[in-house]
Amino acid sequence: MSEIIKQEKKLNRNELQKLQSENYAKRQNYRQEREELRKNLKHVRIDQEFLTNDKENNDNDKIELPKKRFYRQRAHSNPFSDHRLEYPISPNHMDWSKFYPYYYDEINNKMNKQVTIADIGCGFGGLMVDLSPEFPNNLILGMEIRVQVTNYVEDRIIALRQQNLNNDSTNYQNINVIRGNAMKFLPNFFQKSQLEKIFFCFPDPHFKQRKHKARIVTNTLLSEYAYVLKEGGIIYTITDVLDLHEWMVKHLDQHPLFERLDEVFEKNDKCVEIMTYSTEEGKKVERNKGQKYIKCYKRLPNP
Amino acid sequence: MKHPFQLILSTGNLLFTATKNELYVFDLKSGNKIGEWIDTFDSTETIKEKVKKEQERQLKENESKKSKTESLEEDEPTKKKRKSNNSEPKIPTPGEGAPTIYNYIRSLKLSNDEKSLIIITDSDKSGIVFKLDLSNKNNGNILKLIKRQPFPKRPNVIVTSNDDSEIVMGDKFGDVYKIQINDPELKKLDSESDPLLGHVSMLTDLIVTKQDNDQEFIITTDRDEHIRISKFPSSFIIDKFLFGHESFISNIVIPKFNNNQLLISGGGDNFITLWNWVKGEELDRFQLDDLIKPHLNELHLTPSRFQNEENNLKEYCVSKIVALEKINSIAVLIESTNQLFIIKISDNFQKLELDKSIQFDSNIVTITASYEKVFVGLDNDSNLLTSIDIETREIDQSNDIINKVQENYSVEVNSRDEFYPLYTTYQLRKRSEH
Repeated sequence: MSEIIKQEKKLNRNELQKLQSENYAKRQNYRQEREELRKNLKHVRIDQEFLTNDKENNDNDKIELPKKRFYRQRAHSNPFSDHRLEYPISPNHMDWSKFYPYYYDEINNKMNKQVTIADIGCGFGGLMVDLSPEFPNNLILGMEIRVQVTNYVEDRIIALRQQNLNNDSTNYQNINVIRGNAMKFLPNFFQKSQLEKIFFCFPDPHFKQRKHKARIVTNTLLSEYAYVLKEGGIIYTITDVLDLHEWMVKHLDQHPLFERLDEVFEKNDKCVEIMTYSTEEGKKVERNKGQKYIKCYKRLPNP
Repeated sequence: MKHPFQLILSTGNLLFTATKNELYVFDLKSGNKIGEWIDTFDSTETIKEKVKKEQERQLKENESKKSKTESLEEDEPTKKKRKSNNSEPKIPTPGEGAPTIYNYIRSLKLSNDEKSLIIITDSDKSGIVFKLDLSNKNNGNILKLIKRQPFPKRPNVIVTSNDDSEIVMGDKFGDVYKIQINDPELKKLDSESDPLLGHVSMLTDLIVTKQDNDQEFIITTDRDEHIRISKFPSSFIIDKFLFGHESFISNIVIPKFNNNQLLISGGGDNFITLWNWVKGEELDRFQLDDLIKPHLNELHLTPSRFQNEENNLKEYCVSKIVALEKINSIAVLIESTNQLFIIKISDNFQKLELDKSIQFDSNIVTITASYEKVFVGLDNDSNLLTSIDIETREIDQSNDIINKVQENYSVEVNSRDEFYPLYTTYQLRKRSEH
């Protein structure tokens, strides 16, 4: 009797292993395919011209949206470690034309627009995708520290751009993502007073007290956000963790360069609505019927 | 044999030296030792306290966990006896093969009025302020300890504010705190205290300075190539960044000539940069490769994990820059070399230009400059200290005072193995793997 069970178990384990390795191979293949596509298209201007040139290759096939399950990665990344990151020596060294080729003026050799909205820790990019049609005149940049998640967002944007070439309301040319550590290198990307809006959506809560310095809102980091934000610019925060919410509110309240915005603002601001319902994390909280805590702050002039 | 000086600092009349946990002051008129202080702090007490605190925290956590599970399984008799947890906390002792802990004096700085000395001790992560009581010169000790302020994280750099009323300290966690010197109360600082400003990277150097219009600024540098200029004391207003470095920054200097407007920075890059920090302009870059390449040695080899196949990859970094006010120049030391470069700031304070390269018999550990002299601490068995005349840029040949200082200095070790680390700047280099 026990023999049989043992055998069965063994069989199961073998099967499981087989399944796992199959899944693994599948994921690897998928990632590889996508990587090639990404390499070719990451910095390409996807527009009508692209479509006509690309016809023979793709037979006008639409690039599929990436599948999230192939991009799973550990949920956390240590913001203090020396990751191998690419970041510009200074904002002047940043080549934005690679990220927003549509807004690059080849004749004058400069960008038509600057990035004015930043989504720090953009995750799978849901917020940007929804912001894109709402702010057609703003360039939006997501920053994400996890490699696979960044890859996902890049693939998503490539696919969205290609699929929506003839879409009048939006063609997703005004959003892009960068793998980076915003806590360390935000001023390397943006000039003083460049940004109009910064989003912190469902940031890592870092519950332990000794990890509090790793939180994305601290009184010292707020000074950096104030540096890249222009006067009147807005910081949006949303989280489902009450403890973290109270922490962010406490520090933002204390900071001399920020002023809390009231509920009337929250009710009427379209970003607040998008932020509440569009991010992946926001939808998850919605499904679990969790609470969401929101606060927005305005950048005050320097005293 | 004598242990080389780890740090030296001179005002012209006085020479301060730090080796291990021992601090000495020498009179440069006589060569006599006129002050000494030895850090006898025993860290076991503070460690004990920390362990106890952590123990209490864990107990509390376990208690709350237990009460949760117990309320769920109330019927289950708790068979397991609870350990009596009131035992004395054990001091953790490093196991075999653990790296040695060096408790040394990490920094020597003078206040702006040169009446106080501020140092950092590793043992209790303190900033210490001494008043220099020169009337006590003949009784053997001019150092009068007036404040010992512990910090939550290890301090890396410490200075006084422009009016010398406060100490401003940057730590290895990137935070900067300021403390009133004359406040007799010690400030209770812990991880919840709000710092003056902070980087998300190790703080490597810090200067508090002011412009002609009395507007004060604090300039901070870190391992992530940043030179940040914030207002002082309202440091939440970041004025600007000086971008250009591609590796860590170890040293910044603001010479007094040209109205404090110049700043020279160096570190892991193969150049040093001259800035007008008030305007935020890079004025000049001085390339070091050609000068220093012939003088690199096996100490500069890249660690094996990052080495190439030929095993000939070498790296160097700037470990010290000092201003030579008298001749509008700076002296630059590349770590673990025997060369000292005197670089002139020429062309109406726009250019960096090599004035002279001075070679020594052995590697230089550290340097300091007074108005007339550069003092050089050497990694040498017999000759630990020498001086250069700033006017002639020549090594002083017969120097009775320097010899006397060396005679009066007596930190003895049996062999080189007992040396404390003499070259530490290279450790700041970032080695990211993923």
